[in-house]
Amino acid sequence: MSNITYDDHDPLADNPFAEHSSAVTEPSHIRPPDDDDEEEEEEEEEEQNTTNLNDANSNENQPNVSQEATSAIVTPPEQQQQQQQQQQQQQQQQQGIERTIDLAKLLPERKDVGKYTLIVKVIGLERVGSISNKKENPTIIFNCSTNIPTFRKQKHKNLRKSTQEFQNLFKYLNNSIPESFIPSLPSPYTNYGINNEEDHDSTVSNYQEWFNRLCLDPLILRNEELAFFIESDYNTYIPINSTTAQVSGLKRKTLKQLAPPYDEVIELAEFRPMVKSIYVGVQTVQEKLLKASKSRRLLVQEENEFGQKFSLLNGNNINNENEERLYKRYGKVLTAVGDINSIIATMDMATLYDGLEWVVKDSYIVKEALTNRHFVMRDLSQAQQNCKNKQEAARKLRSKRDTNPIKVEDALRSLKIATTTEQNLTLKLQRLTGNMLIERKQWIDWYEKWLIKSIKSYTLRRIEYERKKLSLLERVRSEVRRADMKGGLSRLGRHTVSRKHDEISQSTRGDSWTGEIRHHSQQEINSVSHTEFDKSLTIESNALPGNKPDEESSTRESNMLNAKSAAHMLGISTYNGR
Amino acid sequence: MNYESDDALRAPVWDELNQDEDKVTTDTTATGNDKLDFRTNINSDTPHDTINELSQTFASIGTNDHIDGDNNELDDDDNKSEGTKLINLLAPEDNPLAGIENDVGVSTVMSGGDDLLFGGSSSLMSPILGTEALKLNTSETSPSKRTGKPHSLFNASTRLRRRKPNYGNETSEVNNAELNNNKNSSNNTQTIDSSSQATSLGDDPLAKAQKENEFVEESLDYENKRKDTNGSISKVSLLNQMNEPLYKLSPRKVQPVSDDRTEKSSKISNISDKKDGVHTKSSDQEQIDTEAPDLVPFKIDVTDPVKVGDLTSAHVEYTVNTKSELLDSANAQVTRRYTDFRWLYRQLQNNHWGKVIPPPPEKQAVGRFKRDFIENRRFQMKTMLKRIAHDPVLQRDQDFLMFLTSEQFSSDSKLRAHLTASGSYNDNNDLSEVHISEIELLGPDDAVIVLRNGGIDAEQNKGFMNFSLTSQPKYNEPDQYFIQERERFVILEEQLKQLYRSLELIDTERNELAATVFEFSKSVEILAKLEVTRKSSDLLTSFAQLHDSIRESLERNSLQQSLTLGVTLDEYVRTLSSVRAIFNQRAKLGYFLVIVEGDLKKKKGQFAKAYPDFKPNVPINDERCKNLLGECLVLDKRYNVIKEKWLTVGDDIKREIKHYEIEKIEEFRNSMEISLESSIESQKECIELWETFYQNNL
Repeated sequence: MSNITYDDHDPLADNPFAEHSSAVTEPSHIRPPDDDDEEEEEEEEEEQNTTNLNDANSNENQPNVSQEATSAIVTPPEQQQQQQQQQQQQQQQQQGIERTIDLAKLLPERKDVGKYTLIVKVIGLERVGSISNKKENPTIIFNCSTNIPTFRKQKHKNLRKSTQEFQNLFKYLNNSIPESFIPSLPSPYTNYGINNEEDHDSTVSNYQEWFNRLCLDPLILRNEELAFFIESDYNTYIPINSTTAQVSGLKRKTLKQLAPPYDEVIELAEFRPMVKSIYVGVQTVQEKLLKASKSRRLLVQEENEFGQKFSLLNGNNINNENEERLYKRYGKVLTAVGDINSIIATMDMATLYDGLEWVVKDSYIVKEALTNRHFVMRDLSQAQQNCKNKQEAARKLRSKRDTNPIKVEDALRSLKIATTTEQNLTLKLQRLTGNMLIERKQWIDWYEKWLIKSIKSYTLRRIEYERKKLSLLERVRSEVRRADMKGGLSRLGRHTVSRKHDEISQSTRGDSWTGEIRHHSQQEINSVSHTEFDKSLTIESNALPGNKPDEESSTRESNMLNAKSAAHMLGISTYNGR
Repeated sequence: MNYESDDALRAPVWDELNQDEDKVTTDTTATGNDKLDFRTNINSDTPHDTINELSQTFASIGTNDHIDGDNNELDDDDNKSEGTKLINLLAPEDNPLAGIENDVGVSTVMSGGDDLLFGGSSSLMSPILGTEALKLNTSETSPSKRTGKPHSLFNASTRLRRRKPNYGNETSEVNNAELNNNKNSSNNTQTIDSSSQATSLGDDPLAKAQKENEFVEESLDYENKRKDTNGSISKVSLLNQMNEPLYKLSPRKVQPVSDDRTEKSSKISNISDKKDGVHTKSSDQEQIDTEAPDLVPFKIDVTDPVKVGDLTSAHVEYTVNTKSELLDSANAQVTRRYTDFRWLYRQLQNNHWGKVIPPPPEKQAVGRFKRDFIENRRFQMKTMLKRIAHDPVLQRDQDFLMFLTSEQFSSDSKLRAHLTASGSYNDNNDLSEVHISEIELLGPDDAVIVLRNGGIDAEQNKGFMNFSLTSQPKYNEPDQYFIQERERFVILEEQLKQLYRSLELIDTERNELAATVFEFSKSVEILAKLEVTRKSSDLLTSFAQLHDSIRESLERNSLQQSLTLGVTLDEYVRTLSSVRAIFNQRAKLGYFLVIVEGDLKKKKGQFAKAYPDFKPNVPINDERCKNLLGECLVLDKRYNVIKEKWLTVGDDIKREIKHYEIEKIEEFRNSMEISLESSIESQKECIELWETFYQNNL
């Protein structure tokens, strides 16, 4: 923020912009930014008008943005009024309210959010080509309808964009709109592994989510590149406007090492370290999750081995067929349980890990955007320093009576330039700050929402498969008990114990082990009692002689649909959808 | 090699020999009777109502004496030193040399007759007969008649063989009793001995005169007696003995069956009496096994592992607490180390051939002082002791009881190991390796000779080294059952070992997973602490808690598994080594059998070569002939003894395996069920955790 005051006695006061500053009467230290803003607006307007003519890209702001800005500042009297109002308010009111008023001016795009809309509906995903292309560069198919003037058509159908194009767009947007936290692109593939329904669904929904987030940001919507992107042909989009290079490479690294400049906006000052902590924290969580998943896989390996060895057990004991069958079956179930564990490991990765992955990516983008703001702040303070120096020089010149008019001219010019830059930067910073304050809230909301969503899907998946595990284990229970006539330990010496084998604890009436009422639909029960490995289990047991047919038929019965349950099923939501 | 056929091949020789012997005995009956008469006379001086135990003591000492006598006959010069040696070996604390010398004198006098050899040979067996007969006398008051009939001799020898396993016990008893009676009894020894001889010979005609049935009954009765003596030997309190009335009645109840069997077997197989006897015996044993003595409840706990000793001799000592009526003082507390448990295993293995002894934990060189390991070992040893105590036969084993009570275990155990030649201190790492005690096998008398020569193998080796360098004789198991079963158990053991290893790996992996889940939960907690928003941080906090609970559940599950399936598997695998050990016992006995058979054949060949025109009924004057014949007889006897043992062990094994299988499979299945149930429960818990989390937070 500029702390420069204009001396009334300063000869510079009669510079072209001095008249505006004359309106500012109160001591600068109370609330200087506003009048600076004012001036800068003017300046910017002027500058942009010129630059727009010459080079659309010379300015850091987008042409359309500047246009908006100019249109917003068309009526000076209004402004004057506003300013006076502001000044009064400043003395009494808090910063937050000032800022909202600021914003209307600073961020005209935000003035009437919802004026321009872009509605995108992702309808499909296509994975073609080589394996790496399939994985890394799928094509997203989407429809969109919009009322943004930069678009040539209001409605587009079956738009096909490769992930590469999305990345180009993202890169451009991220560089050209420093005010916004551009939502990072979701991963083009998931841990479900490509080429399956789950992967397709979740990738599509992730891109939908991305578009939704994108369309929330008016700054992005008004960016003409978006229109270029959408209206370009498949696989041809590259950014048409070139972006100004941000501070990058070694310089960026070095600058990041320095202590962050003083930030008077506490929310943002605290936001960066928090985002950084999120970034690091989530990454750690991810890492641990990966580790857990890996060790679960190892466990699965051992479990499978164990199950197989169990199946092989007593293969040479001819005298007890029942026993051999028991071992075989037990082994199979153990293997199946192991396989379910392996699915759980995959699901953990696909749900939570992938979910967190986006958080990591996004928090990185946010963090870098905030870093960029720091750079702007740094630039500004440099500019202020520069400006001060220039003013000092001018003052010195003034004190001398016999000065070279050329020198004076020079000093004045450089002072003017310095002031302009400073004011530019101040404006820029204010825009950044204003927008980021809005987006900060949005981002945190998104973070929370997304986190909950990820954990939720993780939990649901987990519950589903843990239930499957339980039903598998319970299925072999009868087998174990029936292995000898004594009926195993479960009888505990009792003579009459139900020979019922299907003591299944999960039924439509809820879970047998809890008092809590949980109604499962038949479909839920079916999905739980039906595992991916049933085939291997039943094939084996059918192949074995001496297998009791009633048992098989009854388990199958529970898996089968009858007309009634089918009707019931249609009427209810799915297991995962709750 | 088929032993049946071999036996058949050898049969004529045997019969010949028997006949020879019989004839000689018949011929010499008169003189023998005279002699026996004389002895009986002497005997009548001593009171007949001596305590059973005492009589046994005498009997065993008598046996020693008779070995002396035997030796005497074989080699007169060796006589004295032999006796001394024996005494030193068997009763080192006392020196009843005088008495023995007396005995020697008597026996020399006795063997002064021209039919010295055969008289000697019969007297060789007589002491054992004596013990038996003496008991029979006291209990049944069978009329004593005198005959030297071959049949009776054989029957007696059968019983003698049956009697054998107790020899170790008896001898040890003698020593355990610190040879209290030895001095005053040494004078009596001879007399009682001779009296028993007389009674035995007098008893024999009963067996001969009556049919096979009676004999069986008699032998059954005898088995009873043996149990009795066993009981008294293992110092069972009188109360205890009274508490066991069951098996006194039972053999009689089931006797007809055995009779039938005996008859059947005698009908079906046209084999020698000896063989028949063996069959009878096996059936007897079966009955006895089913009518095993009452199980006395034991309460055993292994606690307080304490590391003792300095750097070089560091080891862990465990406290063994026992409560049982079988103990003298009902309560006992002793400290034992791991090697002691191994000693116990070996000793029991030695005492009970063909029995699956609950095994001790495996040896481990490194990490012996880790807490988990010690705890695990403690548990395993506790299980071992509990299992031993749960076995009606093993729980009465005197070595076991000594193990539980002895205060000077190191010396006691060494003494016992020495007395039984069990080799319990030369413990092989492999639980399935066995050592066959010569004393247990051949009885103390013959074993001494064998041991002096360096064991049966050594004799064999030496014999071969002298003549040729032919390869070691190989024992081929004739019974397909053993080969198959052994094979099966080896495979099973391998499978179970792999299963166990797998389970261990699962366990490690599961713990690993629990650890990573813990880390995960911690990292989530850190994230929660950021307080990005209230809601998210609450969610993350409970998410972290959820994972913590899951970790606990995992760890519990892991512990459960290792406590149920793991422990059972581990024990199963180790008992399988023990099972293999009993197969090894049979194989080793078979090996000895082959060796002794070879020796016997050789000796007989030698004898036949030297005296081709040997007539059994002609008195032998040639010293060398006598010696050779004596050696032949010794080997012959040895062969019979080993063969008997070999067959017995075979039967024992078959029975034991049947038991073992049923028991183990049931146990295994039970642990499978427990582990399954616990998995189901932990699964339910897991679902519940997730469901609760879902309901509360999402």
